[in-house]
Amino acid sequence: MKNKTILKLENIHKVYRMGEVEIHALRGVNLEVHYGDYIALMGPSGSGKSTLMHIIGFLDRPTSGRYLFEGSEVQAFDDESLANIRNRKIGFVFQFFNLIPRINALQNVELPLMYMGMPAKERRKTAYEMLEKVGLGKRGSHRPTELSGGENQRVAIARALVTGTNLVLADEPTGNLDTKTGEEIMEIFNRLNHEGKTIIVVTHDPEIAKHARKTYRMKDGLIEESQ
Amino acid sequence: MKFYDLIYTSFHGLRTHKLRSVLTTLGIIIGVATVITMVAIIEGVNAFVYRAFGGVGSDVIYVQKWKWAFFVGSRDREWWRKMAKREDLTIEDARAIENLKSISKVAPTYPVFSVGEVRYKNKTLNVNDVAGITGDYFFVSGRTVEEGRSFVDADNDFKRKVCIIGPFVAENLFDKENPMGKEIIIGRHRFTVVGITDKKGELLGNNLDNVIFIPLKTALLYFKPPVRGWRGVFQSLQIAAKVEKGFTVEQAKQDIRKLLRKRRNLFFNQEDDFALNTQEMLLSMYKNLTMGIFFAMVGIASLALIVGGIGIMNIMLVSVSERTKEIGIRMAVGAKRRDILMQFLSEAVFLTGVGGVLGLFLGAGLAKIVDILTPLPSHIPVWSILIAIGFSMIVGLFFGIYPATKASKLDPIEALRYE
Repeated sequence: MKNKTILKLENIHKVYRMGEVEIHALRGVNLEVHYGDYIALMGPSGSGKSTLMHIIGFLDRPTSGRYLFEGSEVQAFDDESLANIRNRKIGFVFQFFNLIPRINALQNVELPLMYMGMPAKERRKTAYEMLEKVGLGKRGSHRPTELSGGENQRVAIARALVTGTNLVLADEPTGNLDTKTGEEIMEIFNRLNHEGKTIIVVTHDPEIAKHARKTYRMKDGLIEESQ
Repeated sequence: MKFYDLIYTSFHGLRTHKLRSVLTTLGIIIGVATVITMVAIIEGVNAFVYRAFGGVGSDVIYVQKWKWAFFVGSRDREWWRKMAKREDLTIEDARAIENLKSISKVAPTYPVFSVGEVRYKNKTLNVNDVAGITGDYFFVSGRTVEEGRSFVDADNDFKRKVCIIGPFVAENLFDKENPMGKEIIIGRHRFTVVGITDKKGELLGNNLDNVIFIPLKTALLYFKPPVRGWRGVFQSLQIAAKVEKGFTVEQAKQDIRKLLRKRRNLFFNQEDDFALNTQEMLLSMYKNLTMGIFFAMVGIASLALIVGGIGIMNIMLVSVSERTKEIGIRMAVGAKRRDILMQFLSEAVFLTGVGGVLGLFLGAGLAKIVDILTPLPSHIPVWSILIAIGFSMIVGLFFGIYPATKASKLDPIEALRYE
């Protein structure tokens, strides 16, 4: 699988209209990501890294440009196909965890499986195994509000991976955690990358970026350089 | 997304706001409870009326002195004076009617008034109704002789003093004794009990089982009304005629009319001095009465359901905006727009469905209370349960569409950013 392209962006533009004003969030981004890559996307706020992340993750569509995902043209996909790709191919990890507060950790992890259509019993088992993998096997019955930030982020990672996704998109995954917990979370990402998962981390913290094997810097809607 | 997941998810969504959910469905609950209570009462009374009247069958024509008008207001003196002048029907009329091709059997009936108390040994009872009949009465009227025998021709021909009593009379006059063959005193005459009729129950406070039947000719002989006074007007022979199979009631009515006009030598420009009453008339009068109530009730219920539905829509809109972030999260992990739509739609339907069920129980309880505290019987038909729950769910579906569509059309990014 290594060195095979998972996704390729060509001259991606994204323009937002805010009333009269047009905001160019992305101004022709080119990016190629291979299976098993571990990429850090750095840049100041407003540089367009989150927008890029959303486009990569099919939460948003580019205004223009070409996006190839696993060899297919994304532009052609309808909403339902995009939902399916988000469900099975991509796992998101957010800065503020984005767990549903009124259901417990296990149910949060089950959520993508539910939309996949997996039967309840199997779903419970799969979600539980995933929680165990991030070290939270016994905390499944707790709600997000009863868990620490680090634990919440582990739940979010479990949720991101539970459908067998290869690509993990993490948007400032440690931004809301203390340094020590942040390091623990990054350890999990390292481990996942070792296991063959493709990881893209958006961060402005060079310490976090160090974990990645490749770093791209963004500025004013463009990828400036790579290291 | 699987169906039970949908149910579970929406149930979970509502459980989070228990009080709010219940308050929201209050409109639905009240609407459904109103309908169920009213339907239960109307149906209860209906079942009763139809059992009492309908048993007679719609193929029986009652030949009487005047038209039935139970639900119409009182008549004036002039009208009564005219009616009083009308000629009584006779046994000969009955025989002539029976000979018509379109009539299979007739049952002349002679009501006896003012018999006062009926007595057996030292026990007495006020009987509602004493009537002189022939054996054919039991073929025509829908009543049957449950125990003992019916009247035979000889009972009439020899003007025998025998009687068939209603079950209420049997119970109250005889206690545990077998009434068969016992003598009771009606008026100033001794009658031997030869039969007991079936049970008919009560109709609008009128006990239909507190009756005694005696042979028609016996009645005519011993219970002649005085020449003057109201008894002379009311106490007159009436003839129940059963329509022959293959003939319509209308045909038979025409035949009887022609026959009676001829027998009474009426000129073509004279109006009938008799009346042909049918069960249909009575039921249609009754139906008209209950229809009014029914439509008023449907109106009230629809209003309540619409108000309830608006409440549902309102709370679903609140729910959608409260859970914008949740919707974003669900979309990010793979929920399709349809999944979101279905989630909120099923929440609304679930909400109103539960409201419908609660309303059903409340309505059933109210109907039961009415049943116990008032003489009105109540009966909840299965269709009303299905319609009540069905309609409340439809209300949920209808008023849930807008909020659910709104939820499903949210932009995932904006929904995720929402705080």
